[in-house]
Amino acid sequence: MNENLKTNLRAIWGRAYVRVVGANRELSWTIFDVALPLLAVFAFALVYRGLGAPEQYIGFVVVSGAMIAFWQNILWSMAAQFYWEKEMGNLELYLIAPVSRMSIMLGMAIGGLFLTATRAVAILIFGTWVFGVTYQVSSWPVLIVVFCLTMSALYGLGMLSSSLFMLFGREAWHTANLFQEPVYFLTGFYFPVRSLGNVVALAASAIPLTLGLDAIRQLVFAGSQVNPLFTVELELSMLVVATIVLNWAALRGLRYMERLGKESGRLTLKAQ
Amino acid sequence: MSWITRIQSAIHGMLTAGRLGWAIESNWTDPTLFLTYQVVRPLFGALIIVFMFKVVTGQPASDIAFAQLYVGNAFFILVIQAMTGVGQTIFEDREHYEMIRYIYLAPLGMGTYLVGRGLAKVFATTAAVALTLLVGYAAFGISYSATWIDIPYIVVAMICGIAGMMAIGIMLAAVTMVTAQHGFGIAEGASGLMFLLSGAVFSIDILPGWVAAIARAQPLTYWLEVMRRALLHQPFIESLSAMSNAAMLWRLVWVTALTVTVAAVALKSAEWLALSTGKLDLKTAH
Repeated sequence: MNENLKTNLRAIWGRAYVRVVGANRELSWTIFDVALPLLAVFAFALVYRGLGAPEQYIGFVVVSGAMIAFWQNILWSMAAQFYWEKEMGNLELYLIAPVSRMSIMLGMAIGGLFLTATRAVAILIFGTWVFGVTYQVSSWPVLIVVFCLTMSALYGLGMLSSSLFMLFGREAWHTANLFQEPVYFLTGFYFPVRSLGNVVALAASAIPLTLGLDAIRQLVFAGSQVNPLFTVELELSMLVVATIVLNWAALRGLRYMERLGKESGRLTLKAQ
Repeated sequence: MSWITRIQSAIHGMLTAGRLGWAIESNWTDPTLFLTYQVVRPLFGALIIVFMFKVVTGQPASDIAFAQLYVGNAFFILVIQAMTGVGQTIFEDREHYEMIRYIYLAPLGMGTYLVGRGLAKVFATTAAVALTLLVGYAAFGISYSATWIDIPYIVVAMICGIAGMMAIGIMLAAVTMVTAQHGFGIAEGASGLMFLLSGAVFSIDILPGWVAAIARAQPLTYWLEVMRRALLHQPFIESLSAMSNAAMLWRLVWVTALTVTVAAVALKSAEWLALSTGKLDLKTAH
């Protein structure tokens, strides 16, 4: 195997290893990262139950709760991670390592995916059980493809954002916060995105999560009366485009921001 | 040292910690941008509730049921910031700024320091709560019925509410002190737990019996109920509707006092455990 490829594969494994093994050495994460976030999802499901909403809305919340886990992972453990690495003094080590920055990011993604997938599965299983949600999946293969494409596009977005966070000071924390509720609102995490109106919904489809969530809802709640944003086929095509564009932009963005950081002297500037 | 000197010293320490917290929070940018960052997230949180209500009921937002959800959600912004802020202080000082050992060595005490840092968060968040309530009035037609006579009631409730959130935040800090850091899951998770247990956006009456019992054992449930009664003059939780406003406030006071006591014991125990196991300044981020 090509020596360069082997080095990069080792970098991916090395970065993922820390997260997986680190988590399993301190099992308290199962409470804080899995059990407690589950309760926030329950709270939103109870809002719908309290309002006497049709049961499919509770199903929407459970599915969205699982997807929120991935969004939070991308936001805090991918996008904002280079900021933390800078603050902890690891960023310069990554930058002098003879590997692609994308390999480090991919390692973070894979390591984070283990924890996040556990949380998402727990939300799906317990949410379904507690609220008696029933699913009617129209096509498993398409569902799997939509989910994988959504994740690829989102992690591309995460890598692209990390290039910006690399140069951030304390605003990193506030900026990451800024991408929580506004994104939950615009992507229609808790209600069908169409209810925002056609123009806003169309603009929100620039975030791959909007498309992925809408397509997943259409596929797992087949026959639901709620208006979708687009057809699954169109959303699938848009996700393919988003995956290619975002991952390409991430590669370019990381190089550009690294150069910019070096020129402005902000790459290793801490506690600002 | 006399008790007056001790109180003076604690207040001085708290204010210093508050000033430090405020500087950490805000001095990276100009006040306008900082305020924008502070209010955007809560406003969108409120919009989520607005759309959830609108999609399901189709009722106008001026409906009293909507107003109760909206007000509960608006005040919960303070809980998220104050409670998780106090909890995260330990993480920040241990893993990020690496100052926790010096704070521990300082004479002001960890509890005083945490309260001071929490107060800075409360101060920074107050504008967001006020603006969210104002948007409720201006954009969604919520009519607040509070009059001047309700002011003392609101003031006492706010003091108890803030003390309650700080106490729960200190318990969270105690847990953080003896556990590893796995991202920001602890803070987000705890706010999810309190979102469920305080009935911020639904009545706790729809919770299963044992969960509702836990909800009644913590102060935020009563605080949010008191604030709703004060601003809307309508009880929200059916099972507590027989309680007068005064009885509700009294319940809030003693449940808060109990929570503060439990938090103080939890913090002391966590400090002892962290010291004896060498976890006080152990960096665990990955």
